Amino acid sequence: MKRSTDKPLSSGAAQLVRAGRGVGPPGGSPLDGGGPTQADRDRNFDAISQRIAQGSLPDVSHVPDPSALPSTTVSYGTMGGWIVAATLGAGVLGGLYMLSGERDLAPTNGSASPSAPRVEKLEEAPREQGAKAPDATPSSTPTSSDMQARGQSAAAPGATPSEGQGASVPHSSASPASAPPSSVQPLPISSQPATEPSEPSDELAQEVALLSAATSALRAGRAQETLNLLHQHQERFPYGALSQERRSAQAQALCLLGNRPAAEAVLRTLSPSSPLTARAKRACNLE
Amino acid sequence: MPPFETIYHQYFRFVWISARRLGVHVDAMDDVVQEVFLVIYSKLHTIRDPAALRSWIYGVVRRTASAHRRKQRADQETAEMDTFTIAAPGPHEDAEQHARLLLLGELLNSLSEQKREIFVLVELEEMSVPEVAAALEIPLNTAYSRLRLAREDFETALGRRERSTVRGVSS
Repeated sequence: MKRSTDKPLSSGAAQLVRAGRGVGPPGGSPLDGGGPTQADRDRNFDAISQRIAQGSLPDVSHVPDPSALPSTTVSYGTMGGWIVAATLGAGVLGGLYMLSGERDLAPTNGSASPSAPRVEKLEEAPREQGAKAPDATPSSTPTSSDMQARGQSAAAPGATPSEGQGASVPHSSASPASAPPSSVQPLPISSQPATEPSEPSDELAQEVALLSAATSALRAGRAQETLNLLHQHQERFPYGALSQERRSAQAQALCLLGNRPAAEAVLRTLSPSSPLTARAKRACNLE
Repeated sequence: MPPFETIYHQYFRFVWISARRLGVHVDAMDDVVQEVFLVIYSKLHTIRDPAALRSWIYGVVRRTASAHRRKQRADQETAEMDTFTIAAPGPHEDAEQHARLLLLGELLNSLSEQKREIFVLVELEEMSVPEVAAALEIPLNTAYSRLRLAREDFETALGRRERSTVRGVSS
């Protein structure tokens, strides 16, 4: 919390700043454009609980993990990288598309393309994605203990997968009834921190290579091998350009293993309108 | 890591106020706040460093507010980004304190949006500059530079205000 170098504020300015720090009427500083009331707090908590119970969660694939925050400035910036991703990713997309049993050319719908930075996707339509989340209607509103379990689910056995999980998913032995749809296991910590930036095109080429290997394994019906490869991708490129393709393939591999609840949980992390989601659903007979 | 409910209550006010400061209209506050906390809920399991939580949450608020504002771009809401509303003095707040707050609001409104944001986060929310740099996704040097300029502008505006007050009194 300490500033390092700058000239301190003058006494007059510092006095004003102190006045603005956390003093004022209950519910917030008077300098906040209207602080929240207890009713605001309660109303929103109830609404959030309800949305969690309905599985109406936003797509967070593009949101950096808290621990990864400082590195995100590196990964979001280069449009050139995304263009390369789009080019290199075409082969993988084609492979994934073929997995659905459809042999015509994969559509070039924007939502299937990695050419748009994910941060843009978040900013454009997070709420719609959450609101349209299908097939998730747990019977009860999550209780405080449910939420606590969620917060502490790192070691919870039987958690079904959610956003960005790799091959750790199939190790789950949970029954669908016992696992809340939104409970998750922790993302593996990247073994290659993004604080060491490398050439985007190199990374993308590596992503494509891994995804290609995974889709090949999936086409051959080797689901566990697919998940292992996807897990490697998840570890190395947690926010990679092809993370949505990874999750689509993950869902299909999980279906092959008969773990439909886990597959559905992974699919809920994708945009419902994405062709990747549609294809994975078709492959899983989830439509 | 604390459970979600604890985080909700710990950061609710921070999220609310940050969203308001980022120009979210009061009528849209519920939508934005809920969206922010659903993102937090969805990513809770990835939290490794609680110390990084606040700057990360601010980043989520910022993105969500930005998305919201873009949807409402043609509206009058953008004007509200420049507005710090000062509430009426509370029962335990003396007139002098309220006058300070009014002046503070006025000076903050005189800063550019970027400078005001970093000034508020560092000086009022007492976040560290590295935290703010992470939240705003800007290089650390840029954050320090922006903060220095924000302080200079704040001091300049304060000096101008004091001089005009003195002139007003003497004339």
